[in-house]
Amino acid sequence: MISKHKPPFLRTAKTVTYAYLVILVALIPCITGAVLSYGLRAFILIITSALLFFLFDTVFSRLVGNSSRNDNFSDITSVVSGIVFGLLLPPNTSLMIVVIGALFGSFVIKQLFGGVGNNLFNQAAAARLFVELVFPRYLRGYSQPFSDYLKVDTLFSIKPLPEYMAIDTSKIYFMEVFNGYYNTLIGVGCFTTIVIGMVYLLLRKNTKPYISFCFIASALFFHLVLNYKIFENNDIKANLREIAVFIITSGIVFAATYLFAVYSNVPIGFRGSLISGIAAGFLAAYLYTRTSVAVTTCVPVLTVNLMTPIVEYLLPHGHIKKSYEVEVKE
Amino acid sequence: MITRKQIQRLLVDVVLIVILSVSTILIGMVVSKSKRNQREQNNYLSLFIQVLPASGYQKVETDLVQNYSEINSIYMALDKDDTTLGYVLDIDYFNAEGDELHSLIAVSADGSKLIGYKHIGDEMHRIALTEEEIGVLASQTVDKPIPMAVKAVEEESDSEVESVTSVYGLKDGLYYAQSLKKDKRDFIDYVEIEVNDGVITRVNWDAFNVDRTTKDRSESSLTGAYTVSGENWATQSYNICHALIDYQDPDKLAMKSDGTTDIIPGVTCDVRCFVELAKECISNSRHGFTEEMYIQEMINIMNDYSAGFEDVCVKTDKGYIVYSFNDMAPLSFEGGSYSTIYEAYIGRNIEEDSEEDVEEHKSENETPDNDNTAYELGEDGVVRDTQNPVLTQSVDGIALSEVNTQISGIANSPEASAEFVSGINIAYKFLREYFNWMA
Repeated sequence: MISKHKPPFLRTAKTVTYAYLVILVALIPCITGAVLSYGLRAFILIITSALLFFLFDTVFSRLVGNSSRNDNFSDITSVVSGIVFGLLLPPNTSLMIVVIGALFGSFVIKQLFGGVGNNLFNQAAAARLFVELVFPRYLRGYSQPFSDYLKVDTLFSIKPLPEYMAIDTSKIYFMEVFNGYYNTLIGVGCFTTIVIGMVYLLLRKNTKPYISFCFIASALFFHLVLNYKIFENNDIKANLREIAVFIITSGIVFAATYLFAVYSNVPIGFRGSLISGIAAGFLAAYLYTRTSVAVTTCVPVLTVNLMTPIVEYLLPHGHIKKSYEVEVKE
Repeated sequence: MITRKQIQRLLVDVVLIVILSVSTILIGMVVSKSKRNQREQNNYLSLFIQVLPASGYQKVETDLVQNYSEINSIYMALDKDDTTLGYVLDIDYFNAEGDELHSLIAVSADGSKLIGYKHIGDEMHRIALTEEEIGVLASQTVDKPIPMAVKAVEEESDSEVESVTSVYGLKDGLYYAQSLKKDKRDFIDYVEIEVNDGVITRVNWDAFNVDRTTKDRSESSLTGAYTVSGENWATQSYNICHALIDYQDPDKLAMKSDGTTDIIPGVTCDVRCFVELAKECISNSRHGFTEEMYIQEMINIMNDYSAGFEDVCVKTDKGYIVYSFNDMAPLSFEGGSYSTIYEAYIGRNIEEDSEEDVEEHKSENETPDNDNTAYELGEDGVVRDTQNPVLTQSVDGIALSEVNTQISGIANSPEASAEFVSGINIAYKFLREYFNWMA
């Protein structure tokens, strides 16, 4: 049986509230990058998403009777989920999609599973995948970054857009890709800011590096395997460029940084992280050339979420005691 | 609970991380900018090289484009010195049935001429034109003044010249008309036309001065002694004479109430005198009243009603009569009052002609519309053969007097041809509004 415990957990000295505040701070570079790239509409999308997730979580937790479990950190988890959801949207997305995503994420994914700490799936990733699958034509509002800073009409426009077309990165200079000069999700484009967020989380020991790095490494490996024909030529520079472009544009670094940073629904131990990370990496590599960035980002995360209880159940938990002892000594 | 120390640490982190993030993004923007510009220019060049090759392209950002749903984007083509070579407009035209024509249209820097056309060909439902037909239409329109319209009826002509329609009833020969009054600078305008096979093949417009020490107007304009706005007068005269050969009908020169015309490139001066004299020449041609007869009639008038030709006027080197009727009502004699030399000739020399006959001749001289091969342009842009196209209706919301080029179009697809032209006219309308806005 999987035993559920109410956080804060005994094995760490840090509270859940603090942990989520650290994630919130780690999201700041990404938010800054999104706003500087896409202007006012990105800011409104992120803020609205955070507020709606908070609002719906608060309302639904009372409606379904989970409010007593939320304590003082429910607002922080909701806000973090809302911001991550907002960062996973294309810049020209209607606010109506944000409302639908927040409703689904709060009610179905979080409160129906028992509220904070009990949700099986990552709230933001599940909500994002839901709107992606149900309203695909309304989530194609990609636009050129670093332009139209004051454009907001797209927030209130509800019209289907052309089908998704994969980014032809071969026509973009690498420095442009690196600095986010291509059409993508508002939080995924600016790679350097995601790296800053990741480094910050690592410095604050607020993430599980095992699963994140295992995920990235295995995604890269499977990308090379699945797309070996791309790398058959002897042009080392081009091959390295292709690898770098995959890492930057696939959204795997965003997922590794922010979606795997939530403790409640990823494996705790090394072996669980390894197995889950490999599975997630394979999925990311497989989906990269076949579907949109949002799907490539969210499906591996949700798969890991689904695997976590099984993996945790099947693997021994000796590492928990070991980890606790380390924390106590500190 | 979060401790005070934790909050302080987080606040410091926030400040540091914001500074680091903004710095990183700004550095990235600077580093990427040149690469981005380079890629954009390469991209533009690959797209536009067929319609308007240039050293650089700059996207035109204007709110005016919101008034034109068909226009996707506008680019300014620049040479190495940043001089504007023209404009490239990405236009997606939809007809009433929802059929589409997506094309790149290049227009000259002054917005007067179509200089390039490229069919993009990514339509879901294209208007009823094949690639070959679009190519034919492009060849008919490129390097032609805009706006344009499509003719529904073509004149049968052995020549390859488009839009040539003859005026009915012209007799071959050399015909002439001159102003009866001198202008403010003492010039007397004259127009000479030559008709061969019923078609005007040569036109000359000039003016001689009553002061015979002054050179003719064209010569004076070339030396700078006679100046008008725009091109020198001799050039403008040449241009409008050439336009009359093209159009064959002075009415199609679209003279406005102020005496100017917008449809002939390079002509900005007052052309009222030219139009009136050209009409008189055409009338003379219909009646076989040749240049020789015209000059002889003038001499006869001088001899009959004044002290004598030799006393009151002189002849130019070309044999034209230098005389202004300023001091008396033009051609007002005992036998009657006439507005042209031909009328005077009829009134004075044909004794059996009654006054009614003269009136009849007068009315003939007014060049009735039904004497011409004329067109009616509907809103669909097709010119129909029931009405003179000038000044009466509009095509694509453009006054017909502004239409500068009429193309033959595709014989079997007049409507689709008109839709093709409509796309071009959208470019014209936008640029007209854009230039006005810029001004």
